[in-house]
Amino acid sequence: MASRDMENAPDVLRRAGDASVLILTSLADGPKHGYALIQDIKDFSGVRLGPGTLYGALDRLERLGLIAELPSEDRRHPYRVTPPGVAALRSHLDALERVSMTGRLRLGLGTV
Amino acid sequence: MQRSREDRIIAAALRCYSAKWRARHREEATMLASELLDDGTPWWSVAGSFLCSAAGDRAFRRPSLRVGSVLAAIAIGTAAVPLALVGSLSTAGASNTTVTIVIAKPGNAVRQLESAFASHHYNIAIIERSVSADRVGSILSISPANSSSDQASAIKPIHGRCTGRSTGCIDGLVLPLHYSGRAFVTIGVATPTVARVHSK
Repeated sequence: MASRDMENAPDVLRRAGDASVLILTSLADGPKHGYALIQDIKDFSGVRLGPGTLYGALDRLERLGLIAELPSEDRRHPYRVTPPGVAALRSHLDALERVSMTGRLRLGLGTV
Repeated sequence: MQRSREDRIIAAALRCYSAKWRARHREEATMLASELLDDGTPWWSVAGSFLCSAAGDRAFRRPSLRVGSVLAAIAIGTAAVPLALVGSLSTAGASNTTVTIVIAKPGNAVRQLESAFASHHYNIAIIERSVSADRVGSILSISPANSSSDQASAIKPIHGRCTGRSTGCIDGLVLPLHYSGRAFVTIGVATPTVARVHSK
């Protein structure tokens, strides 16, 4: 039943852009501020987000309630993923996995 | 190009954002840009990213003036960048439930943590450990004062950059506002002085 619910959960990240998915993935293991996000994303995906792209995606994710800014009197504000953000990332990764499996099967690569 | 010129160009690019955006992000974006330039990112890449995003920001925030605002942002940007060509201490912030401490000046990290822990009456000892230059100001470990304490796990690290260009260092903490456990925070310093313990 749970997996059925998961399949039916709306994939709110579908139109949010790749940067949003990369940011949520990076924040999944703990809060980070802007520079740490850029470095972590470069390390695990090879994608170097521009600072403008980063702030655009952070604003978008915050408006969607998927991340929240942690308070700080420093100029750098760390961000954390919210529970709806975790659910949205899980749902999006499930959708990506289904596409990946279908693609691999159709290419005759089987499943990993 | 000299760094001051690069900074002016990036400042000009940031001026293309809406006032609302600048009020919220300008200082942080300036610091991020500085870190990226330190890291070897070309100035034109940083400035270009901000310019493109500024156009998008204005288009999103002012749908009724979408075309005009975007064109204005681009025009200001293209004018401001050539004009520019011619031409930080952290403490702790608190929400209702957590306290966030981000180390801004690695050389002053111990004093900053002392101040933050004392102001929130945390019973956390700071242990200084001599480290290489790129780890100065980084938090090396967070551990409970005794094995029965499970509250140390309530202290969450913030991962950031090291003093040098490497990454993966812990440069901040998020603690529960009413954290009452005892813990040790080990921090990298150039020359250790003495361990400091803050009592409630």
